[in-house]
This record gives sequence, C-alpha cells and structure tokens, in this order.
Amino acid sequence: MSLSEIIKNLLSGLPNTLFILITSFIISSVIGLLVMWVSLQNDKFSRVISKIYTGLSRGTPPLLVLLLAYYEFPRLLSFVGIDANDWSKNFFAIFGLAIGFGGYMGELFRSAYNDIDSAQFDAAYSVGMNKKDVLKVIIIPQMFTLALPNIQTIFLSFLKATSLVYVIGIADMYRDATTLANASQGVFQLKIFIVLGIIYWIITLIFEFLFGLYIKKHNYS
Amino acid sequence: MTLLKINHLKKSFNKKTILKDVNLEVDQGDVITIIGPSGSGKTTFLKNINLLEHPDSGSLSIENKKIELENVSTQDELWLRRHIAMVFQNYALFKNKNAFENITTGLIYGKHLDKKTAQKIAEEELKQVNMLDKKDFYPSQLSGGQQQRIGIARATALKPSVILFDEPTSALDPELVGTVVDDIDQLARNGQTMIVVTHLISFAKRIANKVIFFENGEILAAGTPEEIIDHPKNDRIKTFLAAVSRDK
Repeated sequence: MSLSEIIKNLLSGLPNTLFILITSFIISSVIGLLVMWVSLQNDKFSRVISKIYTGLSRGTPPLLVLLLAYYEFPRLLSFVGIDANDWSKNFFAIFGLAIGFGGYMGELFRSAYNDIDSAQFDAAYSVGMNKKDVLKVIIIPQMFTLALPNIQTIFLSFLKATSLVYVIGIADMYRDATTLANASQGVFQLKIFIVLGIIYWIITLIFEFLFGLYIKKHNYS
Repeated sequence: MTLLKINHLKKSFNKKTILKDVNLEVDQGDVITIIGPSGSGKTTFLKNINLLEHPDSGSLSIENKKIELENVSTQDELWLRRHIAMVFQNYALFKNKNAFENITTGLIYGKHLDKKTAQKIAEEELKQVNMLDKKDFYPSQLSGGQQQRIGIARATALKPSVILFDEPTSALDPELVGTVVDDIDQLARNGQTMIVVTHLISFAKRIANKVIFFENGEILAAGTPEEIIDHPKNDRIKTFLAAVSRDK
C-alpha cells in the first residue's frame, strides 16, 4: 500500500475530526463559563454543585464519558419521552467530549477570573459602567487573555481525545486507520499508524501556530 | 454653594468600625485634601462616596439629589458614578484597552455617548495631558506617570461634578510625581471640585482650600491649609506632621 493511498484514506476522516473538535470545544467553553459563573456565586449550594460537576468531569476518563453519552444518555432521555435512537452519532460524541472537558474549562476560567486585579472592577464601575458591560468589555476579554495558554493546552488534549469517538462507530481519522489496517490484514498497520501520528502532529503544529498568532495579537501585558 | 453633602456616613467590616459617622460639605470649586496616617480610613471614605464599597448608613446629596446610602438602587449607583469620578492609587487603567480606549470606554458605556463624540472628547483630553502621541499604547507600555495622567484624563473626560483622587502620586517614582501634581494643580486652577487623599503634605497645602485630618475613621480636624498644616492646634496633627517631615 502506497503512502499517498494511506494519506488519502486517513484524510477522508479529517473533516469529521475537525467538526467534532471545534464544535465540542465551543460547547465545552460555554459549559466552562457556566461552571465558573456558578462557582463564583455566594451561596454554598451553587458552589457545591459546581465542585461536584468539576470533580466528576475531571475524574472520569473521556472514553467512559463517551460510552455513557452514547449508550446511557438516550435511555435517560427516553424517561422524559424523548426518542434519541435516531440521533446522529456525532451529537453524542460532541456531547460526551463537551461534558467530559467542561470541568477543566470551568476551572481554567475560574482561575483566570480570580487572577484579574480587583482594581479593574473598581475602575470600570467608577466610570459608570453597569455590571453586564463591565463583564463584557473589561473582565471577560482579560480573562480570555489570561486563560489562553491553558486553553491552548486543553484544546490540544481535545484534539487527541477526538480519536476516541471511534468507540461509538464514528468515521474519524482513527477509525479510518483501523479499517485500513484491518483491510491489509495488519501488514501495513505500523506504517498506517505512523502516518496517522504524523497527521495528528501536523494538525497540532498548525493549531499551535494559530494560537501563537492570536496570543501575540492580543498580548497587551 | 454646596455641591456635595455627606451625612452620617458609617461603614464597618466584620464588626470593626472603619468609618464613624463622617460628615462633609463640599462647595463648588472646592479642593479638599485629606491627610492622615495609614489605615485611618481615607481610601475607604473615598470608595464609599463613589459606592465602590457600600456604606452601612448615611446619605449623600449631589446636584440637588439626595441618596440614602443604606439601600442604594442600581440606577442611583450608576447616576452617582456619572457625577463623581475617581482616580486610583495604582492607576487601574483597563489593561485590555489602549490609552485612547481607556478614555472612550467610560464615555461610551458609562455616559452612553456615541462613538464619534467619545473619540473627540478622548482626543481633547489626551491633548490636555500631552499624551496624544501615546494614544495607541497599552498601559503596560506606559510609565507610571503616563498611566496616571491617562487615569486623570479618563476621569475628567466624564465631566464629573467632583473628582476623587486616592493617593494619586504614592505609586509613582519620585521623578514622575511632578507631572502628575502639575496636572492636578491645573485642574484645581480650572475650578474642578476635587477631594484628594494624599501623603504629600506640601502638595496638600499647595492645591487645597480646605484640609481634613482623618484618623480612626473620623474627621479629627478640618480647616484651611494654614490652620491644619501651618499652625495645627491639635497635638495629634502636630505629631503626625512632625513624623511625616522627619521621614522626608
């Protein structure tokens, strides 16, 4: 089996890998912001809820979360009369990854929020800004900049975790690689998996470069 | 004419009283300097006037509007801050905004001016403090003195009735103090009503028409600079001024 044949086969799963990566990352970021918001509330109940979710999310292997999302979540939905049996597998993959990484994102945002100097809030309020604008215009942009290096790390972990979606039968690059290896009775297995590793490495380099550009552009410190 | 009147302002933290029944009347054009030892409640007093910290009780009247401070509505809070601006000890410029945006942000989101008007005002204010050439610089790219001048421009751009200065020079290197002091001096000469907390006694004397000596959360003495600084009658003030001049 030629190298170009292997690359062509593996890259056919790339669009789905990228779709799952970016969608689940965005949803995970929204979950992270919600978790941060809940964790910063004054009442104990909210803080306990966010701690429990963060603990479960960080303590459960992503593979297990994906399996639970695919096999058990539809069963939960059926109790409230929702039939999820025909839903796309991509939905469960995105849902599982987003829930699985939401706790990391929440912790990351919370620590960035806590790093913001309280004088920034005072200054923003002192010029007559309301709470919503203070968060939108001053605090959240600063929080993202502070969190960016850690967001990059988690994003790259996400990229690697997308290879796990093969367990629920999604056609991503990893599944293409195993299918191809099986088709050749394992003769080209090593070659195929080395090529797959190099493709992941190149994608990682591209995203690192893009993050680097963004960080450079938004670096005001 | 009385512009700002503060009545029976009280504030405590964890059962410790920080401000004990403080009363103050500020006339239009007054420049009041507040001096006193560290931890006497000077900064807390300013933050309570601007509601960055919430007083336990008291009332505040400004521009013929009286606000009860015990339970201030968000609307009154925002209204008050549009009339009383603040300049901070550590500049507190918005780190994610350049010098120009530091001024326009308050005008757009605080005073709800349109972008063009805000930009025009920001340009004029930057010219006033000779910082127009630094308009695209972020706070981290400016010296302490330059940051504080932007902080002053940010406050004056709001055209507030009163500006509160919280130790505006104490975080500056000695050689940078002069320019900031000159800017504040110029504002005083232009008739801007100000309350300035400072540890620089000569500056306090130079710009003020009234000086307040603050200790243990209350006004121990108030009077003209001559009465409080040149010829203090109170022994505690004498000791304080002697210690300050010795430290110099």
